[in-house]
Amino acid sequence: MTLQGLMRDIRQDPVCRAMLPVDMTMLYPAFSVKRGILCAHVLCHRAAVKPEGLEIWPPELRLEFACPRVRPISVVNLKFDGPYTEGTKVLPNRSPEEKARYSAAMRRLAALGDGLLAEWEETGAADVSPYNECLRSVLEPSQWQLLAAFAEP
Amino acid sequence: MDMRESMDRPLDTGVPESVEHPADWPINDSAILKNLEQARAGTENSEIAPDVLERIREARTDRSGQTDIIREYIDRARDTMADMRGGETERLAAGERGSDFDPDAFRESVKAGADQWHEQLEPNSCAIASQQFVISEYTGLPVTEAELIETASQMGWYEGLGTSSADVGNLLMAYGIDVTIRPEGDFDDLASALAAGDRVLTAVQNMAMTTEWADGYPAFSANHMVEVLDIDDSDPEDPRVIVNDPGIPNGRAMSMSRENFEDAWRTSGGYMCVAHRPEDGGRGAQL
Repeated sequence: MTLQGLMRDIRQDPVCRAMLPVDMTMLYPAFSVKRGILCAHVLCHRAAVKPEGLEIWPPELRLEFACPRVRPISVVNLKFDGPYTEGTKVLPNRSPEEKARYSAAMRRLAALGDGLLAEWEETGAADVSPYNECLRSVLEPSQWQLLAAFAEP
Repeated sequence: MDMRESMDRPLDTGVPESVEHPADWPINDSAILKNLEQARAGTENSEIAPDVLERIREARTDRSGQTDIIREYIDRARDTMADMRGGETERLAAGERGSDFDPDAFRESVKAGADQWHEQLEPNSCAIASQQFVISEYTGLPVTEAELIETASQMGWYEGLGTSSADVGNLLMAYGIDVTIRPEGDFDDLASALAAGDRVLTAVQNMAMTTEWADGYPAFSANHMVEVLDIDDSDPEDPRVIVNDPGIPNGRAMSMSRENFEDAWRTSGGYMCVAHRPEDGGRGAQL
């Protein structure tokens, strides 16, 4: 199982099909280990392309799946789970240098994810911290806050 | 994903910026929807035939049964509308098109779909707007997106968060349009449906459609729905996909590279909803 394969399976899961509106996108998952099971935590939010950049809404759903065989654990509507702010934020267009740095971080994230899943399938255990740290570097701080309680040791 | 050119190449279809229905439009589908709602609520309404009203009541708890009844009722309304127009029939060029590229048929097909485009009313109503494009084109009913939002809300197809992929197509069926859902379609499936004259709704990622942000944001799934009108393969070196995108101001009959489109579509795993054109070519052809 690769990270891409896992994301494909999450996307095709019947719970996602039923619960996730077609106009809401999923962010890359964070991982945790609970009761000896590898869990993926996925935030979902709206995003719109604007001339000045990307407008993003706060995450509205958090989906959790047992991995690597994708099995749903929970669906949380974040609007009803603690404080929720309605406002949107525009991420300005990035410079070529920023995009290059970001692309490098995403390649590293994919490699860490592939390694994590391969190790888990082989040994039934793996350290999720390197992957989660890398994910933290590509998410918005406000998005990471919603995952930190699950993803940090 | 590599950086590629933007898809905003304008397509000259001769389509006006907006489409106005005549003031003496014979059928008000708001009344139809109101009647349906009254029927669901069990209210007597003399405008609905008693046998239809009774069957709606019987099927109220059965969604598939409801769809059949709604379809029958709207078919009756469409027949009435056709009678009022003298029963004229006219086929769209789309559907008669063969496998060889025909520029005239292509232009006609795109124009018929582009006529229906408008920007979506709400941030999360892309699926409803896309279905409305098809309903308006096929049936000729002057149904508005606002009315469809209300209908979908009442039916539980548009609640709070938006439209789930499981509910895409329900509005089409409610208006008598047969649909086929393919969760994992490919480009050949898309081309086949378009060659048959059908419109296709696809789930895409709007960031991937614009190329630049697909490289710079950690999202991995589709977040938008667009209507595919046709494929322009007049230039084998640069095949284009023509879409009605309700999410952006210049989304009418927008031409984008096949590569860009497939990148954006792949984020949904190839989700497609084929709206089968009625055998009479679609009542919208009479407009």
